[in-house]
Amino acid sequence: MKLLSRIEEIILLSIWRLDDRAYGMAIREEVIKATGKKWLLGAIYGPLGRLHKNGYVLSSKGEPTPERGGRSKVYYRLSREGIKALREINRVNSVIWNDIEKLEFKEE
Amino acid sequence: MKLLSRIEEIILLSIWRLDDRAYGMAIREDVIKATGKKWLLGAIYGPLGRLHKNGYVLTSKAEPTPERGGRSKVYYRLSREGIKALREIQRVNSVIWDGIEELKFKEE
Amino acid sequence: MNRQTIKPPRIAVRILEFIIQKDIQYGALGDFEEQFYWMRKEHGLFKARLLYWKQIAGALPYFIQNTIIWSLIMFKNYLKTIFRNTTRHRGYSFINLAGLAIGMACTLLILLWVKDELSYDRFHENGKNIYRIMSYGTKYMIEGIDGTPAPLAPAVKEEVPGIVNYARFSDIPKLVFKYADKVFYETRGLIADPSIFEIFTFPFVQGDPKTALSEPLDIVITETMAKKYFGTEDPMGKTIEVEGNLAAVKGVIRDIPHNSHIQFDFLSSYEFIEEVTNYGTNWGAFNFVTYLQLEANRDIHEIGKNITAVAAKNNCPQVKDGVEFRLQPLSAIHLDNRGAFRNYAEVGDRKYVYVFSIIAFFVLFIACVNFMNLSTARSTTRAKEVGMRKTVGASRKNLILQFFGESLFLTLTACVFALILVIVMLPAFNQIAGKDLKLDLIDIQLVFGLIIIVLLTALTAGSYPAIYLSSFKPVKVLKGVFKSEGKGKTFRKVLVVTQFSLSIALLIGTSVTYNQLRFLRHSKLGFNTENIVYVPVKENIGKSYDAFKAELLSDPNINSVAAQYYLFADESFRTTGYDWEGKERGQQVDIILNLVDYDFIPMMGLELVEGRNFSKEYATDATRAYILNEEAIKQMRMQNPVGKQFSYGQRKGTIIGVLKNAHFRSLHLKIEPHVLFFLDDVSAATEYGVILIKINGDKTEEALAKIQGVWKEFNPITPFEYHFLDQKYDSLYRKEQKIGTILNAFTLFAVIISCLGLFGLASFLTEQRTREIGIRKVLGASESSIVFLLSKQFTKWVLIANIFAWPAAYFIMNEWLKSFAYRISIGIWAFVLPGILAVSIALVTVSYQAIRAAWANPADSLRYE
Repeated sequence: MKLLSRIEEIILLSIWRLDDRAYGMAIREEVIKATGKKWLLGAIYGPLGRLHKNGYVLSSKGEPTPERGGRSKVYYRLSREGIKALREINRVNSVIWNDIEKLEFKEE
Repeated sequence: MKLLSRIEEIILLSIWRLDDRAYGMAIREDVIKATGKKWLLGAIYGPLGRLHKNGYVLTSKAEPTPERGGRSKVYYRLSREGIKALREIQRVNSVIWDGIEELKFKEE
Repeated sequence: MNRQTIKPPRIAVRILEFIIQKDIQYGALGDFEEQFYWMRKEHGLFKARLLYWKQIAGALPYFIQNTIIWSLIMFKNYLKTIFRNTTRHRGYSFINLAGLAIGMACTLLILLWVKDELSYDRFHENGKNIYRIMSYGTKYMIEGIDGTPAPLAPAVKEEVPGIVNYARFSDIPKLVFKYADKVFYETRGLIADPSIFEIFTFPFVQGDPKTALSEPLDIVITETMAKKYFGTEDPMGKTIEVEGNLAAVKGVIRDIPHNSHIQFDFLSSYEFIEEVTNYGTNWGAFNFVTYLQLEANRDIHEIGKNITAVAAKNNCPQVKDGVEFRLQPLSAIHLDNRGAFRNYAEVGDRKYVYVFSIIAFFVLFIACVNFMNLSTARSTTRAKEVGMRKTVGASRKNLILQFFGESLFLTLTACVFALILVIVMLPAFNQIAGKDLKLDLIDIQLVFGLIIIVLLTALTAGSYPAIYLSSFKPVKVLKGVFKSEGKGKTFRKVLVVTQFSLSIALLIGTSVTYNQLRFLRHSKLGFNTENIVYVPVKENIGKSYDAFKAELLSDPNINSVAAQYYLFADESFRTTGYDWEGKERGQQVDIILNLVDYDFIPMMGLELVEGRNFSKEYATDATRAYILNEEAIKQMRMQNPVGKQFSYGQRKGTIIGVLKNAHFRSLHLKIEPHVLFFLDDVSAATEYGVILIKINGDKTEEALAKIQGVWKEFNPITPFEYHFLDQKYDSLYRKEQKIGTILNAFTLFAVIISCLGLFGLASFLTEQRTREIGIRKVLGASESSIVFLLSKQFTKWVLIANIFAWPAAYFIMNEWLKSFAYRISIGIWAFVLPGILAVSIALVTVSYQAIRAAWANPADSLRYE
């Protein structure tokens, strides 16, 4: 299984954090908060779509609202695979960041 | 500044860990150890080249060794920008993983 | 404003629908719209719209990346599948490949040839404005000849507007060139006006075009000729001895490229003409070829008429008889099959260009047809594959794409092999066709043409299998109920019948060509050509002819020796300047003249129907005797010719004999009037004269050795050269022989390819009937009866192919034969033999499949259920 890309990791964690409020715009807010960059909504949907296609997230519909042209909100949650993927990233992170105490530039 | 991709992060951390033994093959070994996947050497050199182009790593040549057909090993080390990029990743990681105790699959 | 009625920009919505992944599109678009309304509320409509459009920018990179990755994966999968499929059906793929490669190689060779034929004379800078004057008249001039009188060009330049320059050519008889110890015969020389270098583009390596041919006895030679005589010395200014004259080398030019209709090794000045030839330079002697350079955009009909008018004004006798002049553009000259009146160029024929182009496409078409048949040949097996793929979700479009991919892959591979084949065959082909073709892969035209051929082939050849195979219904296939539909069968039949028709037609063509050539070779010419050797009259032979002849005759292996002014097979000197007893007013007869000695007529075995040969007994024979042939007498409308008065110009005399008509010249031509004078002074025949020597056929080597010995005695300088008369006459048909050889080769290819096609088809149909055969065997049918049953089907088709082939071939060969004045009639065997041959080949091809099927175990074939 290929490792999640950074943005995929961030999105999955945002979905986890958002619990049952995780729909497109909310996820975007979280990502912006985490990275400090103003991600375009359309740019979120790229990786989100891939996560969905690979089965890392599941979706369910909410109530239709007029603000969405009559469409319902689609809520996302992590699937088992998604959680497994996150766990893997967590493991890798702990390995590579292990005992990196103070990251400092060393002169040659 | 764009966030480092996952493999770039992993490579930079390997370079940090390897100290003054950080040349291509060694970096690859370290990455394989960390991620558990058999990365091709080419798949290391791609991102490594990008990192070098963007100024995140610096290079220096060592003495030519007989078993490498007389060519010198090129050693990599982190530049200031590289360290800054890593620190940013460290920050993002702490934010997105903040308060995530147990990742567990939730039934619908 | 109602919130609902203001929607996000529709075009942007559409774009996002396209870009965003389908499975999350619903949610995404909803989000986008929600954001749109929020933005509108906060910052107004404009900003809202702007933001909406910006989403596209956000989603685009991912979309592009995904599409690329996906395409690469699909591509890699297709390649793997295609490769796997091709190697799985290895035998058939190989046959397919072979057939296609051969077909493409043939097409490529022909196209290279055609391209070359069409490329002649393109390198002249003034090419567009260069024209040749052609003379049109009656009888032998009726189709136009390129001979014109010498004074025509300068007169025309003076008096006809629109003419920038002129240059006249005449050919030169074989001359002996000597420089230091290098002595050779030179035959490829031309006399030309110095203006040739102004009109045509023949680049100089050394020397100045403006002064190179200014003096009499100046010559300009090609680089190769320079190397031959001078080696590494500088040729400029040196003198070459040319049969007693000293010619000065005033220029060296690049070798003439092969695609020029004007070919020569050296040029000599117009002034040289007196020295070397006896060509008349008056208004009545059409001995020169004239080229004109015109101003741009001139009406060439007008100018032609003006030229004729100028000639008339100068009392040109032929024009008074109705001959007129017309202009022919340079670009039309090479492919003009009328042939040069003076033989300085290899003659092409536009007809052959068309025919061969058509043949090229036929061959490729046949190969494509094969491809189609073979691709669908084992369709039962492939049908299962198709059925399975469709079951797991492949759409018809996917399958079509895959099959096209397969055909493209095969075509590309075939193309590579075809190129290799062409490179291998090119030297042989060049030799046969007398060309210097190169496979120049840097030529954009060629590469472009190749790509088009490959794509077209892959598309046409691949389309039928692609559409046919992909249409199988999975359910039917997997249930084993699958059978080929009737529609496909008919198409296939038509294809094979077409292939065989073409092959049979080619076979008929080959047989007719072969027969005609054999006819030409063995035709009774009306005189002997066997065991007759001839040598040129050079140096001292003419002067000491009697001694030379006596010396030769002293050898027991030499039967007789005769002298002739020129060989009929080489040249023809003709004129109308005769007078005779009983000639009507205004009557003109064009008679070819020649001079011979006493022994000529007996040696040749020519028959005199009236009168007698030249004889020593009659002293006046030397200057006053004429012998004419039957055709001359007929055209002169003379009765009882022997004894009647006859004169050539001032040379008055009487007719002493009449020769039975004989084919002195090529059998392309009808027998023409001939008159023979007595060759009194052999030394006057040094340009074209020949000594004919009849030798003992069993002792050829010894005879030749003797002749060489005697030659060397008499000619210390001039190299010995001899030829056989029968070979000379054979060589008149060299063009046809070449065409024949090429035709044979292509027929062979066509037959091979048709057999490949039949083989594939036979395997397909035999496979279709596997069950039927199995059942028949179970019911007791013998193997041989099954083989018979299967073969019958295919034989029927080949027989049908004959019905199409015979009329077409008959029509075409008849047209071709019309170019010969003397031709065979196409007998029935010319059709029957190829037909039988085709059927036999077809049977052999089919029998492999038939026998295999007949011997198959019925249990295997009935295992479908």
